[in-house]
Amino acid sequence: MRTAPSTIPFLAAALLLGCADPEPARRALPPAAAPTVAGLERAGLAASLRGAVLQDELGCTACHAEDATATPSAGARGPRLAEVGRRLQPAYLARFLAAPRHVEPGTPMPDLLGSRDEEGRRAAGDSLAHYLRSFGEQAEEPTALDASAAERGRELFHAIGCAACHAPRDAPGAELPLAGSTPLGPLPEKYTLSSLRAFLEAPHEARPSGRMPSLALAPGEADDLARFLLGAAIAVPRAASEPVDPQRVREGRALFAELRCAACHELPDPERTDLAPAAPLAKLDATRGCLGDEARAFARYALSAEQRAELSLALRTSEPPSDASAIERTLVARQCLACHEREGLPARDEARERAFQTSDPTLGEEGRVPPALTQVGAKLQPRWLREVIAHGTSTRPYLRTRMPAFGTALAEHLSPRLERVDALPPLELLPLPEDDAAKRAMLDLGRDLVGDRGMSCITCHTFAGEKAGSLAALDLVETTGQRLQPNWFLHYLREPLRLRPNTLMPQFFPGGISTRPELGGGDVQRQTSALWHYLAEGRNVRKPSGLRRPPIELAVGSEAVLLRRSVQNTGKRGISVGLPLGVHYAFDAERLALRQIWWGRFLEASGVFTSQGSGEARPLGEPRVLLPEGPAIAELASPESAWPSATRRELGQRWLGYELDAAQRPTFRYVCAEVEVADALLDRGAAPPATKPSLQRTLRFTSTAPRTLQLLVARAERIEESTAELWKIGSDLRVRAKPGALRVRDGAGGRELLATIEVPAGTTELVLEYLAAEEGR
Amino acid sequence: MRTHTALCLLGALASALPAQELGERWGTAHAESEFYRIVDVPLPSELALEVGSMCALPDGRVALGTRRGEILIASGLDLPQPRPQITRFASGLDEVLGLGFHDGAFYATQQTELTRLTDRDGDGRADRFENLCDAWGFEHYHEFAWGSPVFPNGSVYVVLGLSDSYSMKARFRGWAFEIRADGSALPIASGIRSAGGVAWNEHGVPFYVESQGPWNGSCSLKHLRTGGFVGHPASFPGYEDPLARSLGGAPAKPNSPSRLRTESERIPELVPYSVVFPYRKMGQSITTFRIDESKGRFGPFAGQLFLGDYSLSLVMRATTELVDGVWQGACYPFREGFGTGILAVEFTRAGQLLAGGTNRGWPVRGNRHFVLERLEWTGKTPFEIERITARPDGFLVRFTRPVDRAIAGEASSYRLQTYTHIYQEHYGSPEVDHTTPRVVRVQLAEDGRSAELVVLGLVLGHVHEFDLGALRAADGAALVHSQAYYTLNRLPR
Repeated sequence: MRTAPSTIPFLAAALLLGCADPEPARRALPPAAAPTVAGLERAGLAASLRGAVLQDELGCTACHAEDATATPSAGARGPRLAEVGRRLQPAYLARFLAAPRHVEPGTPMPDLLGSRDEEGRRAAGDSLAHYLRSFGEQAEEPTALDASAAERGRELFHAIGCAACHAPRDAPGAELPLAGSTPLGPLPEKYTLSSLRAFLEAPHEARPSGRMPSLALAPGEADDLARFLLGAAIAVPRAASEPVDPQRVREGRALFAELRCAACHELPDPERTDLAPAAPLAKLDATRGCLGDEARAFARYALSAEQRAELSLALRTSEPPSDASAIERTLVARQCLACHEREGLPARDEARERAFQTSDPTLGEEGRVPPALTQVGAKLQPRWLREVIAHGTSTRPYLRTRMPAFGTALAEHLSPRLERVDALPPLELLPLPEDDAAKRAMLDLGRDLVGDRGMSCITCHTFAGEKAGSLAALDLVETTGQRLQPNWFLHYLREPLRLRPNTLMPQFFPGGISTRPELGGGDVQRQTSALWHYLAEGRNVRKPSGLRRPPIELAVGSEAVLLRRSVQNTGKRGISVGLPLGVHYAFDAERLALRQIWWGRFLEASGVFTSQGSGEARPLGEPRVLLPEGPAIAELASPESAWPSATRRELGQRWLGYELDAAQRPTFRYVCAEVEVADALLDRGAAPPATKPSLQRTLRFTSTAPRTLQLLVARAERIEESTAELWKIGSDLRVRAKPGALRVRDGAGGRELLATIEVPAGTTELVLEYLAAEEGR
Repeated sequence: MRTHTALCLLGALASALPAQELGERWGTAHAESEFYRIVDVPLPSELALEVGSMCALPDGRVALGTRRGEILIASGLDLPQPRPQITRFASGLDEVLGLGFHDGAFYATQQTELTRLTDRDGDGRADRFENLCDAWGFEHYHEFAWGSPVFPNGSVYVVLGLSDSYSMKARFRGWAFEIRADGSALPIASGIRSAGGVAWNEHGVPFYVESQGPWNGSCSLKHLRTGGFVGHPASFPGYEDPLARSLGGAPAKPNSPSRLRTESERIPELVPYSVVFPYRKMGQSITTFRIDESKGRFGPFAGQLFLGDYSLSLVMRATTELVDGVWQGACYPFREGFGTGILAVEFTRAGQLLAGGTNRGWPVRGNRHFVLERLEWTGKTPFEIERITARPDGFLVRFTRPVDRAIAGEASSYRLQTYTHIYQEHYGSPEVDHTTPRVVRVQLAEDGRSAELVVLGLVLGHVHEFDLGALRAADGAALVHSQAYYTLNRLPR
């Protein structure tokens, strides 16, 4: 929209200047770009609003008196200068002061040296820089680069909201131009690592205008961001700067007074000259002076014709802005609209959608995009609203964009106006009864509605820090009573989509009728009031039903129970099998391995059978023995080759499925090295003196050609042969096999118990028995 | 555009607080109940019947696959008062979201694999579970696998949701496969986000159900064209897999934000949405569909697609047609007020529609944790838009009953608007690029059962939303549902 000056107007302007100027040769500088005010790059703003914002942001009222304006952004203040010598590099400072509009195209700082030739500008810039440096100077050594810090900075820059106003950057940190971005200027020439870090940590200190808000960065984050933005420059030694010269300081000080710098900039210099007032705004002629084209104007802003027209519109309206107009001016100027929408004002820039990210994609747009400001003055309680604006308090942990802190002045300005302007028709909130029984009845109704037998708000919402489901929508208790206005809450419950078009919250009162007619007589007013009072009670309220999922225990009767579902230690393709005699196991159908055996109670399945099913099933009984993860069967080059760690798909092993016997006990079938394996695990009653049942495993191998396979039975720190046929594995497991069937060796992860299976062209079998270690055996 | 929506909503708030609006409830449940009754199927109280899939069997029984991994077989669902006998055919599977029956075997799509189940000893319970195909990775519970019934050629189609909405973290997430009876897996299409079902349309062609989210401005029915890309580029790494190499590499990556029509002109593999279900007006999470093959026993919509919605607990209709080589069609509101989130529908042999599901895990309008309901036609013919098809210069709108000729002969009785959605990597989209086409001529059929509309201002790639609330039947009845939504990809020649 606001295009940069193209060549043709540039030439035209140069010609005009040439004609008007008695000494054209002395004008070495080409015309500067018009000032950019980031919020005004937005399409769809009314010209009068644009003019008003421009007047605020250019700081017209810093010199020209205006009656009774109440916007703090009026006469936006320039940076504080006491620290500027520490903040900015000396060479840059001098260069900028000599020709601000050329060194930082688009800056709102006017050119005050229009009547000087190039040499005069240079000298003036130099003197001013010496004067400013006399308050404090940089002293910084080059720093080593830290690529991972810079990468973290890049990530932060594009995630927390910087890119909502500034142009995104490529990996080395170069700007990827995007219309409407607030330029950052040549950062490596301006800042050092420590000065940029300090600025980012507390931008209001240096720039009280609040145009750059505080993002409440942790110290490490400011360092990461600064390293990203400055790139390799921080490692390059800088040329030594000229020492501060007292004579230049005196000249600079005089210039500072002459140019009225103090109108916009704060500087603790008790000897500065007082300013004579300039003409009041109402008396200004929009075609002359700062607004005009005159080469010798005191302050030159290089306004575009459009800007001039917009500003003169603003000058003609002398009455103080209404609340609504003050809100609009502030939301535009403070770039609130870069992140938030508000009815009647332009929408967010679609080209910047990438700047808004979420840590919880399941919440959809609501989880990614900062909330709309439509009716915000009727939504949030005044104290909370001030808190949010002043300190960036946020209740939405899933938004990666941070709400910045704009400071208390802006909060005090904006918050009361929003409260006056925004209004929803009043809905009646039934009071919480005084009478104990009636009061308890109302709170119980609220509790029933919030719980899983009511509207099940806890399916999506966190409740006092506890989550019932997989979603993590706003905490009902933490974000209601302290934060919302009851009237907004009542409206929102009735018609969530009208107040928040992005919300995933379903309609619980469609058409003004409750979806839970059985509770509280189905009375909408009573139900919504009860919800408010219950949630407003705060943290210590009685928890709703369904918040803690009741365990779902799978018991085993006379038949086996099988569950294919994620199970602890066995993975997503786990198969848990509970056997009637009380010995159970889990088999991994992905890696084709028996992974654990346990005795006693079988399985707890609430993790997979409630909510979205994001959890896993848990074995309940004891003892519980873990066996090595697959592959369990392999062909080894030699009997001593290391056990492979490849996946079964890499090894070409295939899972075929299973068959059930009359007691529903499975025999697994799979293929390893072209050999088909039938793997049956049956429960077997305890043989006295043992008291626990054992697991008898019969592996049947069928092949068309002879093969030699190895089965990894167990891996443990301690494996001992206790008799010719019984092996002790760790403290809890014993394995019995035919004498000579098993061998033990040292492997990478401990001792390994292996069976070698010579498969003929035909069929062979291996029988193993898994027993719980018991005292006295 | 976004603001536009907000403005409309807030404007409405100021003027008409108690008004009914689309997307909340259609508000038609009472009118619908005169023609279609919802009947609760009584279930044993100990049964947690979270229906995830259904399959009518040749003998009239219906098999139910559940989220808890069971396959149950119910008889007696067709009785005037349903009193089902339920037996457990199999258990222990992992989220049965697809179920078919062919040659005496069940084909169950579960998270981990497509399994063929047989009962060899004839005791009514499965005793053999064969892994027919497990070519896909499964590393996260949200990687849902939806399966079709068995196609006449013996194949099952499986669609695999992404790892989350945004990425492919395990093999072939975001892909659709045809799995032949011999277990071989043919990659059909990439680009799936989070499917809600797969089956054949009324012409026997494979379609799947897609949910609103990244790269999907709204829910839609999409054609599973072999070699196609259905919109979400996160699945592109799958083209590197040896199994998919025959497809010849990944398509060009779509730009964001854009429009699907713009990108499909640039990316030949990109398949346009066949039927868009405008978000909230027509469901929020649409699920599996079935065709009414009851030859009129379910009322005047024979041969159409019926499908449920999980979030809003309702059932809708759809029709599709092949125009100039591209599938497109329309969707129509049908019946609301079911008891839980609908995951599956199926027709019984007597032509009644079963609907079942669960409400756990995600927000759902229906408040019952699980329920099986039967929708039956009362025998009265509702006055409805029977179907809309495209014409070279407009649409043909058919009705279930003759219209009042005086009203229906007026072009001004047909109100249309069009819009599309932003095709973008971010979640969902508002309706954008609105236009208002004009009906300039109406030709009523002799029997008053259809109207040929000549329309100025058709927009390819847009949903054409019909509001025919002005029409009346010859006997004065108003339409039960006055809205319909046609997705116009091509004009017939």
